[in-house]
Amino acid sequence: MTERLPGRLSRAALLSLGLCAAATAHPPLQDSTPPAPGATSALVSTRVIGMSLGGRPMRAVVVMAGEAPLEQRQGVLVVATLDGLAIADHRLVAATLDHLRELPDLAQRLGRRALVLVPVANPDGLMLENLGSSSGPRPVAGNRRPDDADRDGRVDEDGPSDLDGDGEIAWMRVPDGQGEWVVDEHDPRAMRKARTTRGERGTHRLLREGLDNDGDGAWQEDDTSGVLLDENFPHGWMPHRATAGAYPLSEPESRALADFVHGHPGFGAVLVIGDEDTLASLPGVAKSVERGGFGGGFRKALDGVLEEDGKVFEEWKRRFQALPGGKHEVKGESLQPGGLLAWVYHQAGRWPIGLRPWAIPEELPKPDASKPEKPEPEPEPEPGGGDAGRTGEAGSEGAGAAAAGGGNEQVAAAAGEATGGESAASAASGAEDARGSDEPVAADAAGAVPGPAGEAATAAGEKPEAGAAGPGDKAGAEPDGPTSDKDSPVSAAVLAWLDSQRAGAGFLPWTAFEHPEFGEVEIGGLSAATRLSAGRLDSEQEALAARLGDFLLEALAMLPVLAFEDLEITQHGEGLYTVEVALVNTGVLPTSSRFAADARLARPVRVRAQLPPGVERLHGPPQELVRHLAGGGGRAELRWVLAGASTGTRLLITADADTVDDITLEVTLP
Amino acid sequence: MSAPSLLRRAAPRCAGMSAPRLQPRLGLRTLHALLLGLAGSWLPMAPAAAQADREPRVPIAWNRFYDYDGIVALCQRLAEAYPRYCRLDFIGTSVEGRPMPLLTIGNATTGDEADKCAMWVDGNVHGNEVQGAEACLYLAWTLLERHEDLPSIRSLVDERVFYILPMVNPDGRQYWFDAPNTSSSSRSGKQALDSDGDGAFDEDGPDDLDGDGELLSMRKRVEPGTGTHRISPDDARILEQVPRDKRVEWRADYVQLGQEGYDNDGDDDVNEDGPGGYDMNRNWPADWQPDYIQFGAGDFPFSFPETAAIGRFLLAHPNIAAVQSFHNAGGMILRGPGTASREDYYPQQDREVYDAIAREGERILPHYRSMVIYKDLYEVHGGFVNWAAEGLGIIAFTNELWNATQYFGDPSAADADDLGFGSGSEQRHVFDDRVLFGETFVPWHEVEHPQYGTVEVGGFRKMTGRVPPPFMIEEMLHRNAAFCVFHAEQMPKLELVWLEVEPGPGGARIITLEVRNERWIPTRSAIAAQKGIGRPDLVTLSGDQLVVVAGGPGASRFDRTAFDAVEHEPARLRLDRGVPGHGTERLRWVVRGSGDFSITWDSQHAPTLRVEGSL
Repeated sequence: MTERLPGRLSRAALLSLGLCAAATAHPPLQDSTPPAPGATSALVSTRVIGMSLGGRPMRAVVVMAGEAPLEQRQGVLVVATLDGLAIADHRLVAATLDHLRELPDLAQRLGRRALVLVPVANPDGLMLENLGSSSGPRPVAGNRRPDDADRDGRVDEDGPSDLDGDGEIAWMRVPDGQGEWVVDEHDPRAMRKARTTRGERGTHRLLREGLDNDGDGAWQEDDTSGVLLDENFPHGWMPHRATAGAYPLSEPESRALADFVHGHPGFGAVLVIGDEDTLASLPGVAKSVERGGFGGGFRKALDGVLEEDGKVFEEWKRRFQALPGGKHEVKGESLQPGGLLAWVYHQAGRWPIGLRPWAIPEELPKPDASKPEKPEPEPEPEPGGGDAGRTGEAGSEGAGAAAAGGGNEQVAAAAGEATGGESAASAASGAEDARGSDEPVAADAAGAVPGPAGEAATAAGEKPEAGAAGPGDKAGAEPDGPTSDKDSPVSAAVLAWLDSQRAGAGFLPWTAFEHPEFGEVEIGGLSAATRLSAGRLDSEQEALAARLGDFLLEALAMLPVLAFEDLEITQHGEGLYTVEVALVNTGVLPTSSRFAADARLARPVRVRAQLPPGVERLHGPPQELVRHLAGGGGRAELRWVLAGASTGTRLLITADADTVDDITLEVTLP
Repeated sequence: MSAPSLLRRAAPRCAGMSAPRLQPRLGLRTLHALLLGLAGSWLPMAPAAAQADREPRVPIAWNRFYDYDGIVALCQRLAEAYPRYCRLDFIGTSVEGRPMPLLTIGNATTGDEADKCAMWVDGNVHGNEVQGAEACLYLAWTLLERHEDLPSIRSLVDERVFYILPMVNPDGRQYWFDAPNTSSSSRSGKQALDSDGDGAFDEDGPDDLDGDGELLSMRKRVEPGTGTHRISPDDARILEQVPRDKRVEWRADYVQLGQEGYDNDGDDDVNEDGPGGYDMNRNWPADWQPDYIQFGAGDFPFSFPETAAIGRFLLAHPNIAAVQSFHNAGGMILRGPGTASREDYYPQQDREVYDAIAREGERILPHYRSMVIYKDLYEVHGGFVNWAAEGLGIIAFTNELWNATQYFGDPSAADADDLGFGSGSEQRHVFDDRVLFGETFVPWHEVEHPQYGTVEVGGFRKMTGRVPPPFMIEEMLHRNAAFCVFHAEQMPKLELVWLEVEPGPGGARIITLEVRNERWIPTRSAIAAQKGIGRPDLVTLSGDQLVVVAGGPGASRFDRTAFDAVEHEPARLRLDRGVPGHGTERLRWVVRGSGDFSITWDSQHAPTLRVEGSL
């Protein structure tokens, strides 16, 4: 499958990102690159926020108006491509930037606030300069830190390899009576775990394409992927997990992001484009909150967000869903241990927003006669496994039909398009799936394990629930439900979706191959990159980019704003005055999350009354620290009683904080 | 303070990531000379000798403490006096720019440094816990001065490597010496923090109100019956608390006002945002928790340059098999875990090793008790020895140097409180009066305070309480060095028990090898094996005319012919659990061929053992 973003995107946006010079192995380090021409070009610049492990610059695109330093502004940070296999995500950032640049009122909507977008947080994993090339390293999920993952004294010696020379790292299905896998009865191209609890025996092993390079009896157990950056952040970091790094923020890329967040306290929200999503499904609310500990904080880490903060997450979601583009339904776990987003909330005290732009549904589509393009069900395989040659052939036919233009204009058109830039799809399908070990981990889904109810129903001759019967139960039993294979790396659900929505593109037909260690195997299936992003279409990408751009501007507008309101001055005679004023948050968001306030992660708003010489404060603190102001008019009442003042005495009342712009109120006593 | 500025400008030598070798670093000569010159003015007049009838090559007075410059100069003198066995490097730079000296002690002529098991020793992570640095130096001095005449020391220096870092927190140490402090202040490093959340950094610390160079306590006299304390009827220097219901009756006429200081930033609070305000011994990646759970943790593990430098060094030296850290005070031999949730990081096999070493430690150190941090002291997230043990799989101890029970030499007392020896107690005054001739107590005297009016300032100086008096320092240092030596001796050492070649069926030969670890520490700790830390022991059988048909570890302690054949790579066996302390491991191979063969036992925590034989 091939698709290309229009040249406009790849040229203007990528140029402005400083990423278009990708043909050079390492783009030169520079503090800024000239913005691309355009009406709003003066608002866009780039800067380098860090260097990757491999010495590549981590570029950030800064969108702001005016001259104030970025460090003193409120803003929103956007991070993409923490996972090097998320090939399409940096292009989504580019497209978003394009959308923003075309807004005539961009400067006005930005105001003093700034957007910072990091399109490629993992430049070593993505290796942008090599995308689309048929040779050289493929993208990997991690940052390529060398590691002896299998602790055998050798480093990165047993990763996957392109055995059949087709430019792809796919899967091998190896006939093996002791294997864990069988051909899925829904689709002979798909694989699912054998239901051993029902007496079903596996027929295949399912391994990533490659050899046992080090002869230790394991396959692809020590690859070159390195550390997964989204497991390398401190909150919930998992020690002794090879992909999590030697210690939290051990990787220069994750450290650079953390340093940026720490160095820009006015950036109230961090939006991460990746696997996690808070805009379709909300983060869980903490079930156990033990307050206390140092400074009245907490005795242990939370297992979710505070309930009060949950309402703000609802508002983020509501606003995103209200933007044009339809319902955003992508599922994605959020605030995962060791991840950037979890750290953003739990330790940096900012709002984490996860956007999973796209995902293949994990469930099989329900039968729908109104969709004529839905492929006919494949013939059910023989019990004990499919015919390797036949299934490979069937897969080839499906893919061939797709390539011939069935069902999708853009896919067909993309085949002949010759715009510049890399082909995300081809690069994606060639990406190393470097996230796992030699065998896929497929948890037993609920439907895969027979429950007592299902067994009882079968025994009674009743129709069992979907998901309760195995492939051998042909008479009177329906196949397992659509979720039974969701963890398979070559699942029937994904294939069905690709068939219906992408004319089968993205599936690599199973092809016979003479493996030096196993004999005859089949190579094919899906690459991890296909699941992540390669099937994303230009039209989807552009629509999402526009929605994301609008959402980011809305997010900026939601940030807290301080104001003094309801000033009241009472004169009591003989130089005695009472000054009362309310400090109000007129923004949508609170001055910080409730958690950040309670955990002392955000500096409180400091209010001070500066008195001229001779004026004495009889009541009211010299400075008031306001820990938290809710959005939408949250207020703190302030009161000072002054002596020694007189008509015309001028006071300055100031409020300053890290998360909000400072304000000053000049008061002249009557 | 000219010397530190010179040091700060000098580029530190980083021994961190490159393969270490015991070679003199000529590039430091100029700096060394400078330091020697600077140090000369305070060198002691009556230095101690390593033994009574022996003149040490580097005479050092062990009845005093040295500031940062002094410690660096002593490191330099040792490195220059013993270039064959000692190297001085600087592995990092503190927040204020002080290079962090590291002494590497070993014998370059007896093998590659990276192939020897090593011990890491450090001190003074808390700036006020100064004697940790002297404890480190005393160990280095002992190893170097006694290498020639004591066989036990010689074998350690020749066969092992010591990485000794006297000052984890050079800034905190120097500030403790330079500025008015108590025995407990200047614990932090010197990175400025906004401890009170008002946007200003370190703006309201304690103050030496009367300019006498001491940071003492403040108390204020109030109307009788309105206070919380009164003067002790037994000793006017002691303020005793009055029960709430007796305050009127007993005419309580004093209140305590805490450390000497005033409200520098005008926020009505006193001393709420002093220098630093964090704890570098909460900044390591072992169950690290942020500041709202664990005070002083820093923004993330290794967020401070000092801890980051040490972390890099330890990660780059997988040959380190023992860790010792020196703190004060309390007389404790501490091991992890720091929290109950980490109990599973200390499997039974490792606990036996800890217990064996600590048990001997209690004999070497009469006033010290073996303790588990979270159970017997308090909970610690992100502690250093916890990271060494739980993150790196190294047997690691912290010693809390000095115990007030030593004042009157009563080791039977559980702690200072049993002796009535708490701060401001009568016993402490007796010791100060009778043994130290009143040197450590500053009498209460009146001072005008900008917020409180007339107050009284007085109390014990910083050089007491948490540190021993000068005449007791050397014994503390020597006994703790002896504990280090014992700990170092327990690092694993493999010895060949027997190697046998016997005929097998069908013309095959059977090779059997048995090795023994003569020390307490295993070649791979149980926690390392459990968590996959570091590399398992690798045993390689090779020979030009050899084909290895099968091989594996022995399967029975009674039947030496039984073995568990591995499925893959029989010529390169991986032993996940290594060789246990005071334990043996037997391996067996079935081979074909003829001629000579060699077996290499390669362990990260033990010197490589090579055995040769012939079929």
